[in-house]
This record gives sequence, C-alpha cells and structure tokens, in this order.
Amino acid sequence: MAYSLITLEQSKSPISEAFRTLRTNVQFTSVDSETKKIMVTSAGPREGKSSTVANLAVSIAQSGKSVLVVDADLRNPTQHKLFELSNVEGLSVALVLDQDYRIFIKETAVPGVKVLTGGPIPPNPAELVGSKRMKRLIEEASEQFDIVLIDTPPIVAVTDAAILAQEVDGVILVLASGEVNKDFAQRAKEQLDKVGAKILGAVLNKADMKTSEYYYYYYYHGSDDTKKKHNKRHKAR
Amino acid sequence: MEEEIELRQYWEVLRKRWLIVVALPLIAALTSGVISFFIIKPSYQASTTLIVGKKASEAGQAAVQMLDNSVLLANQQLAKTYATIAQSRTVEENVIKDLNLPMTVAEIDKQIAINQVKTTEILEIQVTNTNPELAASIANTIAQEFSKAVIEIKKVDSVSIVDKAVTPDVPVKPNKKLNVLIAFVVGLMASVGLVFLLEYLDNTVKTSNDVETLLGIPVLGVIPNYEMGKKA
Repeated sequence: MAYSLITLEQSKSPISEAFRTLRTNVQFTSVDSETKKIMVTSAGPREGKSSTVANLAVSIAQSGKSVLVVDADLRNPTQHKLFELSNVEGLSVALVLDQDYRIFIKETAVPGVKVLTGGPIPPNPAELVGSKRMKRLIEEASEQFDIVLIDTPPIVAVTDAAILAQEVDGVILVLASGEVNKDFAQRAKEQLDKVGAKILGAVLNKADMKTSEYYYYYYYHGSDDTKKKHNKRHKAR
Repeated sequence: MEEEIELRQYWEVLRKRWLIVVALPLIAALTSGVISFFIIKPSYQASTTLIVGKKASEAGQAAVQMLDNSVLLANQQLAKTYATIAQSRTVEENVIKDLNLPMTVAEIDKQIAINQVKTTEILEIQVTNTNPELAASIANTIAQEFSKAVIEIKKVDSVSIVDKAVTPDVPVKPNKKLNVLIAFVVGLMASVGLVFLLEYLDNTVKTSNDVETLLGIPVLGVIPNYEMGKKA
C-alpha cells in the first residue's frame, strides 16, 4: 500500500499540496452557510473516493480542525484499510444495534482525524444508510466535530449516496480524469440534482500531471481577464 | 483563445499516445524491410534497342530522305506500329517456342515493355524477370523474332540492333530503401490518424474545463495521478 495517505507520508509533495488546495476550496464554499457534513461520492467505482476522503481529512486536520471520517460505503468499506484500523465493528453495527456511534469511533495515527469504519458488510446497506438512526448519527457527529466527511458508494451504481446526499450540507463529486465517461458523469450529477443535493463541486482525480497543470493554473487564475493576459504572455514567449 | 490552445492540444494528444506514434511507423518499416529483403524475389531488367530501317526507294534519294523532316516524323510514327508488332502474340509465342520457356503468352506479356526512345525511331525492348540471364535472352530473342515478323509484315528491309541486351547485375526491384521509407511515412500518417481517432472516440472527462462545461459545477481540486497501491 504505497502512499495511501500521501498527505501524511509525503506532506510536502505536490499531491499533498493539491489536497491542501482542495481543502482551502472546500472551506471557501462554505463562507456563508455552515458546511460541516460533507459527503464524497463518484459516478462509478474506483475513481478514488475513499483515498480522496482520507487525504482530505488529513489535510483538514493539519489545519487544526477535528475531522470525523464516516465510512458509509457499507458495500465495500475501505477507510479502515487506509488508516490501518480494525473493521470488526463500525457503522453497520452501530446502526443495526442502535448503539451510540461514539463507542465505535477509532483514533488514527493522524492527530485530529477520527474514523468510524464501515463495519461488517450488512445485507441491507441502502436501508441502513437511509435510516433515521443514520440521520441522527450524522447530526450528532457534526456537533461533536468541526467537519464530518462521509465516504459513500458510487452514486450511479447504487442509491445509498443519493439517500445520504439529502442529509448532508454538501456533496463533493470525485471524477477520475480519463476514466469516467462524460455521460456517466452527467448521470451522477443528475442523480444528485434530483434529490436536491447541494453540490459543492468536483474533484478531478488521477489527472495527468503535465496537461493538468496547465488547466490547473487556469483554474486558479480563473477570471476571464487574467486568462487573456496569461495567454498573451504565452504567445509572446 | 481557442486557436492558441489548439496546437498545444494537438501536441498533447500525440504525446499522450506517443507509443503508437513511434511504434506503428517502425513496425511498418520493419515489415516492409523484411518483405523487401527476404520475401520478394529481386527482379532484373534487360533491354535491347533496335532501329527499323527502310531503304530509299530510289538510289541517290537516301541522303535527302533521311534528312526530310516529314519522313523522319513518319518513321517516328511508325515506331509505334513496330512496338505493337514486337509485343504481338505471334512474336511472344515464337519467343516461348525458341527458348522453350515454361510460360504462357500472358505471363511473358507482363514482363515485356516496348517503348519508343524519346522522339527517335529507336525502339527499346525491356524485359523484367527474376532471372537476369533469362531476362537478357528473352530480350534478345524478342528482337530476333520481331525482325523476322516485321520484315514479313511490313516488308521493311532490315532491323538493326543498336544495343544487344546484356545480363543485368543489379536488380531493379524491389527498391528496398524506397519501400522502407514509404512504409515508414505511411505508418506515421496512419498512426497520427489513429491517435486522433482514438482521442475523438475517447469520451471521458479529462480536464477541469471538461467538468465545468459539462456539469456546470466548480472544480474544487485537481489531484494528480499518484501510485495508490493496492486498494482492494
């Protein structure tokens, strides 16, 4: 498992820097309203939701906030692997037994980051995730922590994420560059719109370094005026 | 703004699939090289040139006639007639008979080319064959059979051979260097075409611009590709 938590293992790398930028932008999206409960999903599987959640959590914790990572991907829980925790108990157990979720929260090696692992895979994940207990759990957690990051299954494949999206303050859509089909990405967005979720924005994951930097630059100098200036300079060279 | 980025994007497209761009022309050149060097039998070309003469009808007029422009022109025109006779079935059949060749008329016909040398009265008989000696002897036999035929048909006085065919020692085909070069260039064009086709067919989200225009949501972060290791 090479660099599953790159923000922790290589905090000075450009990738960690990218996560810090992501953190800053997420914070900017919540200037007016309190955005504490954030759900992360993607169109399809393997686009890098879980590692984005984990690394974003580390980044947020590094800025001095307390973060709870909730692994609500009960079909394929991954957070315990990334943070190297036991997954004997977790969210699924807390929901089924209606126990206080707090006793299942685990400390991690990263100061400020706590994780509620997925727990054993239940037969009815969508039901559990859509339950009132889950809603209450998120509500309570958001009072206890500065930020609650929720890892979910891919939204186009299963309903879990769409259900959860209604309970959170904002949704981040992870899109794997060069992997996710445009139609598929659009369907993911439509699904979120349908349930009235507030989409904070997208994270373009697995971007090709050399091409992305160019667009990356544009993004951060995103107004039209600076774009033109930048272009002229480019031309002059 | 769009136009300025465009060239760069083309370059990026090529760079991304550089392996195809490099490999395809090389494979094409290599294949062409193998075929040209080892598979195609080299062909040799032998040629003989001859001139069909007609005695002056009246003695003493010869010199004048030779210089007369219209006669010269007529002879040049005649050269085409002679060329057709030289490649006639009768001549070809006789050549096969003379040399005892295991060939049909159609086969030998493909190997023969009869050309008028520029605007002269001279005819050139070109024979292409994988065997250099055979090419030369076919060329010479055609010349012989042709003179017999033409004297009989056109009642000309003589057919003089300017150059006898000699056994060629350098093959005319295949042109190995040219073949390899052509294969390389064609391969290069095909690979570039293929790369752009693949890019056109690639319907995936790639840049933050794509996300913003497609979904109308802001891009909060661009995470470069990094080794994630096993994440089962």
